[in-house]
Amino acid sequence: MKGVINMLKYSLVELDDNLQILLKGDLDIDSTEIINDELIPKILSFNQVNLNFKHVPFVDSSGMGLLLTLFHAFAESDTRITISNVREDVFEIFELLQIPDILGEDIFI
Amino acid sequence: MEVKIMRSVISKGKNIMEAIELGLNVLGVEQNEVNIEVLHQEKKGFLKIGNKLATVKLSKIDTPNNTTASTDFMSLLNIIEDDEKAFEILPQFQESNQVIALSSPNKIIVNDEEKEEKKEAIAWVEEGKLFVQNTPTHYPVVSIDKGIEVKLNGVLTKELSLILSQNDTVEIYGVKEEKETKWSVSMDSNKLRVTLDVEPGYQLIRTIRDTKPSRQIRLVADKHKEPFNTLTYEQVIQAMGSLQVKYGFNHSEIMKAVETLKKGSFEIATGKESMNGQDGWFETMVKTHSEKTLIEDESGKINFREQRIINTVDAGSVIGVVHLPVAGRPGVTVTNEPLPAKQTNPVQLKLGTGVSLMGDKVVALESGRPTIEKRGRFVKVSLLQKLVIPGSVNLTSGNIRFNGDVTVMGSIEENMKVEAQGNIVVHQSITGAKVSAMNSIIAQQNVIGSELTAGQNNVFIAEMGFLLATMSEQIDKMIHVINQLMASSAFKSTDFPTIGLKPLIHILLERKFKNFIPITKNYLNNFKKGNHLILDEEWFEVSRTLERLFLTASKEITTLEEIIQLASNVRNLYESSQTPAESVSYINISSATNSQLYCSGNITILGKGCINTKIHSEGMLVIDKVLRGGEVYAKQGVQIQESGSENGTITIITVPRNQTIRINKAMEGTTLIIGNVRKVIDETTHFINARLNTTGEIVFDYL
Repeated sequence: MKGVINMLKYSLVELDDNLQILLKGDLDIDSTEIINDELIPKILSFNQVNLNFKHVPFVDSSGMGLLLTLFHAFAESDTRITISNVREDVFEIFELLQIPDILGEDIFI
Repeated sequence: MEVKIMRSVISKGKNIMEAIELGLNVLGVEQNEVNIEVLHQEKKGFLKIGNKLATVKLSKIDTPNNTTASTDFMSLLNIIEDDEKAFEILPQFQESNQVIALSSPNKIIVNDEEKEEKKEAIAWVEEGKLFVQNTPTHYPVVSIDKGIEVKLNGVLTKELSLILSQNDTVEIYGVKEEKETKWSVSMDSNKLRVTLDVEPGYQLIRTIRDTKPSRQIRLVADKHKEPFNTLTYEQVIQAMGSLQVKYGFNHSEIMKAVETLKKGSFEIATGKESMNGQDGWFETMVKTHSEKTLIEDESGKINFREQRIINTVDAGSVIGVVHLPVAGRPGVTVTNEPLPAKQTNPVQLKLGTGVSLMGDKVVALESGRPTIEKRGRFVKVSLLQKLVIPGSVNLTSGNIRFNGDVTVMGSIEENMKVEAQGNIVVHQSITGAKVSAMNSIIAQQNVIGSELTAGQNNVFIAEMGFLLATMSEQIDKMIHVINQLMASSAFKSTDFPTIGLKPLIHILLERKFKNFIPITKNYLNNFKKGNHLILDEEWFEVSRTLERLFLTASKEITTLEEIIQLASNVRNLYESSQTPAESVSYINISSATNSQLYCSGNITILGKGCINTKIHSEGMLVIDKVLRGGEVYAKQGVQIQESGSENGTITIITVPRNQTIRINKAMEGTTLIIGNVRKVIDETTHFINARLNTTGEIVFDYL
């Protein structure tokens, strides 16, 4: 439900150079620390990272901003980040903000 | 469907067998179905002369009624109908006296030779019935016109002519035709009118004309068309129901439509049109007095003209009244929905200095000169005070910026700036200074190396307006996208109270609205360059907000309301930029040298003249003495005493294509540009009235 606090959690699956991050919960203003303090350092050591959005029901503008910041941070590096399993209504929001154009359509797998 | 029952036939052939075969073919039967009677054997003559053909008579065995004709020998006479088979046989009988009796119910060949009885063969129509009388040898012929049906002995015939005997049972009918009533109901796009189109049907009755008895008669039909209307009231109501019509029924029209016998259109339901209201308006209550200014009359002479100038008022006087808009009256569609009246617009009142709003009245707070600036719906009322500078405007006095009229008793010195909301009157000279007034500038002595601007700079405002339009559109779109996001099921707006909308705007500006930042920066830059020409606070307010919301990365919380307010302000500003100001501005100076003059009204130079000066007037330019060098433009025409010089100083005079340039003495170097057609004067010409003719050339009508 939209109003209820649904803190972002994640689980990791590491396979050689490939990191799978399964996100669970809302990507919103409260996700800031998790993204910046926990996930970004983790991503540093991998060449291929996928963010699985299967269990992300809601996003807010801060969350979108975090996502963009995340991608921009790794734009110059060797790490390739992809996003998968985005829910239909969440993807609608991505499209409204033209995020596929900003990040490149190929990041969505 | 042809009903042809041939019962017997007489046929001839080279021999009997042939004759029988021929007869069988004609009858369409086998040998065992007929009785054969040999009438003649063949006779062979010498060398085929005197040959006689074999003749047989074949009669169908089961024929019930072998009519009298088959047993009679009748001579060949009239063949009424085209019958292929008859022609096949008949030529073979040309030499004989015998006749083929093709006993079909619709064809009998009559023998002329035997007239045994005095009784005549006749037929006639009486009261729509056919009567037939025949003799043993003669039968009447009846031809049938279109539209008449005939049943012969109970069978409908397709033939166009009949030979009838009195034993036949003949029924004749005039064919009836019926056309359906056509109708349709339609509603106009405004849902204010429902139209019923009706085309009544008709019944066409044919009566068969009576005829006098005669051997050959023709059955002729008299047509009688009777219109009838099958449309019912219930059908109409039902049709209207399916269109959801619930209001404005015109019952009398429906009745007329249901009863009409002529094609017509009927308005069976009418809605109520909305009535437009009245926009709000500002009523000026102050008196004006007339003042003389210089203007040119029809004959081309410079004359004084009366101009109304608003008087000064006392404190507490009513300057004007704001009238509220009168709302229109909504209408009703035929589907019983309200039809809103056109939106009425109120006056957008802006109060300047020295005035206050009491209810609907604008009142002066102190004594002074009221100024009312109107731009479309926008009305700005200010009370102008008068500032008198007893000496000159210089480093000692400092720059002057005053919300009223300014009178400088001395001069305005180099690098000084004087800006006034009202009029600026300078008693002495203006040198190397910038002077701008919302109304008028009057300089009684020389203007040298200075910039004078009177009236709002409409060109600048129009340019800015154009940029505003683009920004307004973009901001509206942004608000739309934000609303879409907020309505989206997966979007949370819970962080808005905490961080505001700036982060979201930031994302939008990154891609979706990536053009917005460059456009806004462009606008703000241009605005900074020219904003000394604008004294209206609204412009500055909008610029500040644009900068704050979109160009700075401040931490403050931006709300959606703020963005909506900005959108509204930008839109208003754009609209105000598009309507020209109604104020009358002018510049009246004695002379100008190396200066720039801009005015949204007339410019008049009555003293020594104008040298090397750039002039732009949205009204008329009148130079009483000399124009030498420089470039001048006047939207409503130019009148100059003397232009150019003996040395051929290039002096450019431009007017729009539909205006004229009048010069009493045009010397070498004078360049006239009307529209985009250019003409250079290479030798002194007097009294020219230059204009563009129909073929696009500059011609002189000499005064």
